[in-house]
Amino acid sequence: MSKAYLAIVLHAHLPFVHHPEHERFLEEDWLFEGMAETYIPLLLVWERLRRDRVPFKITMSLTPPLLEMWAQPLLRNRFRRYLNARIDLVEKEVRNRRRSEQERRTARHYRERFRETEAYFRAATGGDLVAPFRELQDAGHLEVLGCPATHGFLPLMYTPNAVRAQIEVGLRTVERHMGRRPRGIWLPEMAFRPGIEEALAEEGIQYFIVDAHGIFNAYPVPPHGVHLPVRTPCGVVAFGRDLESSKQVWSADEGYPGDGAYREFYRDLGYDADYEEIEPYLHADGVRRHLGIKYHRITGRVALHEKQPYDRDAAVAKAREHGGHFVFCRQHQLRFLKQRLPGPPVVVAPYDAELFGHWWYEGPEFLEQVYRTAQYVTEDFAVCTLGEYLDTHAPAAEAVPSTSSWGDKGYFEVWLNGSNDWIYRHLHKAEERMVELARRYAAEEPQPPVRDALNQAMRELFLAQSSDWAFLMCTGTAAPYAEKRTRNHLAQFTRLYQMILAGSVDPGYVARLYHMNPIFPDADFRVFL
Amino acid sequence: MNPGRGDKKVPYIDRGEPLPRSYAENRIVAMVREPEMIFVYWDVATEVRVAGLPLVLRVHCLSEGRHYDIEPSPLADNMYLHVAANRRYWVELLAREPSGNLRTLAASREVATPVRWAGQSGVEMPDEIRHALRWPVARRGPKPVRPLPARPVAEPTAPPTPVPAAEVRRPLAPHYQVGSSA
Repeated sequence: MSKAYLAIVLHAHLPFVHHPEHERFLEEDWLFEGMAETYIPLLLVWERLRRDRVPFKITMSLTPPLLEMWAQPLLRNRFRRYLNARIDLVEKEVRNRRRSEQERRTARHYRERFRETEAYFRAATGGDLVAPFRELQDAGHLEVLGCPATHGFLPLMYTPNAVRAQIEVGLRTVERHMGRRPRGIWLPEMAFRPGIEEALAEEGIQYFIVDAHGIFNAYPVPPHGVHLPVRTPCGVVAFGRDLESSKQVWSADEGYPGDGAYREFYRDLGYDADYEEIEPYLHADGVRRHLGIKYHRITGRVALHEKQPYDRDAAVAKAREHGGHFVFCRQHQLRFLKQRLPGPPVVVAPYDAELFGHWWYEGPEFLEQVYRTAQYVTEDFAVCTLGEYLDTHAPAAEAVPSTSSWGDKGYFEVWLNGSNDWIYRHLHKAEERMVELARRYAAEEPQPPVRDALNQAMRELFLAQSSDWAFLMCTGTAAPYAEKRTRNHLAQFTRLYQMILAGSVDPGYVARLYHMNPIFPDADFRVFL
Repeated sequence: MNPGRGDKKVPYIDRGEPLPRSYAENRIVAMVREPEMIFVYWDVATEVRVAGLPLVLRVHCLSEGRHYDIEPSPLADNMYLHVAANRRYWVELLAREPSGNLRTLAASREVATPVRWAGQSGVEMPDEIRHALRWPVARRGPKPVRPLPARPVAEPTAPPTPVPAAEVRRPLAPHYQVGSSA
């Protein structure tokens, strides 16, 4: 066995978006695009690897909101509708005589892709996307990480109670869906500050991941950098993100996804086609939007109207080439590290799962090639999950990672700036009030409807705490929706808080709120104690 | 491209329910954003707001045993403060009485700014910062393997920060936490 490892970590997350009050809802498309372009294509890659007996290993976070959304019948049905609409659209595109031969060839690819996705979702999973992930987990290919309940940004929370509650409910939710208690955890936005590791230890978590500077700035500074994990004084292990493999994939300038052969994300049929052709596939407001049908490749640093036609075969060939190159680079990197480190080095390569397929259309093929190539270079390194690494190699160095995140500039600026700082005074107040409620009512064994109101208040706070809202406010993408979600959950929390204290809980109101956001059905408000 | 029917519409933007501008309590919270910047927000009780007393932020640097005052705009309720990395701070919210005296309304918890790229620059992190950075989130409280450092020589003159309700079970001093207390 080689004494060097590559651990690819995928972080699959989307905020909880569920709007039964509307027949169609734009932001629910985030989930459908993720399912059609990332999660199912990745599952199909792994099916092919299993079929060919390629020994692949992957560590992956499936966050509680994502798992809970996959379980919603409403969203499953709407995803079927989404797929059928896309199939209908590409059928028309294949027959569209105004398209060039190259475009029609690409349209045929999309038709096959959507049909395959639909068949997989209907037949292979029976509509339950958790099932194939569970199967991969049980087969030993996949290790699923836990994650705080709604991907809350832990270091900016006010009360330790809220941090612990997020962690506890998140782990329970992942366990409920996956049938196993996670060994490791994905810290939302990789955001860490010293002290959090002890809350993780209390929940039995064995490891987490921090960005590279979290290790470089750790105390004491670990002597061997990010390629050997460190053990914190409470026993939880911290893995550091590898910069080299990260840059090769993430970098907008030098990264693989920027290659001219790959599909151009921003040139979409939703903006190119005649309005009448696409109108039936738009939302009720009739505004042109991305439809996921794209006929152009990145080409180079040129304007959108100068993009060249997409050639699927050439793009897949390039993804395979890049997959081979990635493995080649890891061989050299790990050979070098093996010679210089006192223990077996591990390159921890974490990425947003949605990069593969959604943003980088050929990303799943790239990953497939990485695993196919890696099976032939085991004298240099083996692929592993992070838990497997810890099973055989105990970290030697002891250190506490430093405050850090994987956001822009490495700290908390993305989640704390002029666009979103207004949320914290309200979130902090709600945390305090939730703790107050938990303390006041824990001993009383409240009965419905008070108990239901307490649990719903907790859910509303969790939903408001999702780090996605502050992120979206910062980037300006869907900022009004992010603001609305934050405000509404906080206002609903406050109304419940006032109802509970006044002894006038409206059971209908509580039920309506749960109907809107049916998440964490088994969570108990006492986690805020 | 053909303009769509919907392209001409100006959609109504629903930004959600209104939230209170103030919770009518004296409070100041400090949060670390990055090694050289902290964010503070504050709120005042109704009687202070009605009296229209000018507010003063007193920024205490525990690491250097000094403080300085900032007079925010009367309309402001938050501010980003440029600070130094690798230091400990707390911020006091004061009201200037008509007599000119300063009255303490609230004090933030202590925050510690992290070191920036110590691994590359060779900057060492003092033990006091290392411990101040800790956030005792765990229920049992941290079990330090090394003794906690002595308090710094230059103690602040401000009133001790009371333990907020949310952390009364915490075994360690509240100045290890992010945030504030009234």
